[in-house]
Amino acid sequence: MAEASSNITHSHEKPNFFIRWFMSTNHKDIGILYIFTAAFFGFISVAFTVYMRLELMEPGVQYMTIDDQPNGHLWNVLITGHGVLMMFFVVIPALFGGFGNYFMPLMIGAPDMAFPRMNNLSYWMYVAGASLATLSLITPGGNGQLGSGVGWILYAPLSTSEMGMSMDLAIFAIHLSGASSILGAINMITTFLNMRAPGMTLHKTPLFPWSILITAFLALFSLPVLAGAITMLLTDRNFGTAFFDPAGGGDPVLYQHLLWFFGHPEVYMIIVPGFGIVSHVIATFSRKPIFGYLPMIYAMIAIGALGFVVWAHHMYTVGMSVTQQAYFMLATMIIAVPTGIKIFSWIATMWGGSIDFKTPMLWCLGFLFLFTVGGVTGIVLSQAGVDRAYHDTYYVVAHFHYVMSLGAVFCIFAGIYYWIGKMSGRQYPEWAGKLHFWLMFIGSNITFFPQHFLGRQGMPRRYIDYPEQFALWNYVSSMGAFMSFGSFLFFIGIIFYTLIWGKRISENAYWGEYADTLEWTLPNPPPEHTFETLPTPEMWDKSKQH
Amino acid sequence: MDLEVEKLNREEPLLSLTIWPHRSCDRKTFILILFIISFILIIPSFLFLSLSFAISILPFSLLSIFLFFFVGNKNFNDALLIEKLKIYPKKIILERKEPNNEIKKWHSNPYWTKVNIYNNGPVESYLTLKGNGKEVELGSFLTPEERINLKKIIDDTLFKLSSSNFSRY
Repeated sequence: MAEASSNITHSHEKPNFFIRWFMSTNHKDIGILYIFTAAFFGFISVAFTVYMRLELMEPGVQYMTIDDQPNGHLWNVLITGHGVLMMFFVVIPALFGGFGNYFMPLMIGAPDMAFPRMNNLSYWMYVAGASLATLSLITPGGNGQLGSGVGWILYAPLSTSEMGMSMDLAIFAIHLSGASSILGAINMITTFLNMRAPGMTLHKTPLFPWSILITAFLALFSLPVLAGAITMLLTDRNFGTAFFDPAGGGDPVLYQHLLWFFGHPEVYMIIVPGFGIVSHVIATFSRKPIFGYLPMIYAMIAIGALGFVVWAHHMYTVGMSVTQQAYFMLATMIIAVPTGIKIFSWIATMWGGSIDFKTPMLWCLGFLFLFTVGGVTGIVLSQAGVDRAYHDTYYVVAHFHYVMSLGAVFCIFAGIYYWIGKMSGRQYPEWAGKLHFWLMFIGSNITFFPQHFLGRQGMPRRYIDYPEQFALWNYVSSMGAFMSFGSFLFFIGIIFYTLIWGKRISENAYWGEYADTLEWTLPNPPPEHTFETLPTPEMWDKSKQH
Repeated sequence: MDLEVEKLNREEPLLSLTIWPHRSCDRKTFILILFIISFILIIPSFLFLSLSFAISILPFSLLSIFLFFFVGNKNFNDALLIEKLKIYPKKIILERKEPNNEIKKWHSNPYWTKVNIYNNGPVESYLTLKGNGKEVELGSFLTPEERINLKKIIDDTLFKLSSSNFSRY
């Protein structure tokens, strides 16, 4: 029989520093670890871009030289490193691993993730993968130099013929990242399905947990395909198979199909958790419940589902039939419908609201503008005929940076400013958050908007040098990049200032009554163990009060 | 002792309660989701790819399906904690089925049984039954309000019993 606790006064022993941060099974601590680790690798990845923009600031090769000759390999390695780190080890871990781990269980009233030890395993596999990816940049690779320069997509036959073990390390890194994501996804799905608070039906669950559930399903469905594809790359490289080698009966275009079958859902894995954050922030600072709650959920589901049937719009130029191209065009354009539902629902939430332009809200407004610009250029690129002209130009670089670099990263910043008081118990200085926003907003637009012009002029991407006629907009773009990097350094300063000297906040729901999900019922920061006693509907179902 | 319990089981209890931890998804829904995941992960491999390519991807798909089944199932089994409380005129019986199928029993005379609620217990409004030389917990996985209601129900039943002198030997 479960005897009554002999020690009625209940206390949890506080773990020491090593146990807490290196062996943690607590979802909140693991969430914080994900965010800091992603920020660390993000800094490395952003530093690469600063170096690249420095090189591109003027025509000719000034900095990346070897024996006074342009070092194209170094350029390619930096391009690859930036892409691999950002796509696999920065944005998704921050949004899905970081905010997902910390806030999804809190918002559904669960005491922790369904499998806390598996959560810990996911995190350390992610760290191992990110470390391998970084190591691959400084291990012997192609052209007798360090690192591999094949691009983050690891296209065959470049990736199958690149010398050295750098490429193998990169493949292992992605394997580890995939395994980590699958474990994390299964954990998130089980937690969401089984551990919602009593009365919290699917149609009453907040939008952020929904966004995490959809992201988890995207990961679960797409990552096995990537794992299979890169395993074939490994066997082609090391065991004499010829899956992607035409000389042996293989097909390099098939690799592109497999890669993009994963790669396009990956784009939505990056942005969908951001949708969840933006929904909460906009509702909180508009002082209104979110407009169109159910359409918002089903729009996310539709975006996720459609994401699996549009992959070949990344490869219109590989020689598909006109019919195939027509299908992928139409399917791609249809995604604008659920995306439009979301954008207009956010605008409708703000409509007639008493908007408070606090820092998190500014980031969300920035996101709305930038994501819409990126979405519209996406519609342009979805047309196979137009894409013939824009394929592999800076127009594409501008497009996906508007959607991901700006869209998703603005969501990360919105989430950090929205929840940092909850996570740390200390609040950032409002003026500093706003200054960070404006520096980043202006800087990133100066960086990427001119790249549309460069693309339209025909400047190809992934080159270390360019002719004189592209000089003006490249110079402007580089200036914007330096400004954005400056804002990132300022942000790091804000975070450390906040964590050490930030003003303590004692009110649980410090953003007001419309911050009404369950995490706002907890102290700042929440105690180590939360919701050991299940929350009641009155704690989270505020629909009747608003 | 077992014989006595057997006899009691044949009588009609004055109160019979079965309580279990909250789960927001039932097993049928879980199996449906597992089926959908399996369908989505396996079918496209064979529809769109030649056998050699499908074989390269299939192990990862099967591994993902197995993992989802294994951990989902474990999560359900870990929550298979059932407490059954029966109050007869001369006996209270509490049975607790643990996730590992181990069954623990406690019984006491209703007349001497005390129902306690502690505000400084491991959970808010910690509910226990005290009798037969032991104090055992009840419904520690319920919400505080549910435990308070449960105490009221048990108290009412015991009060009725004692006032009608049923349980006196």
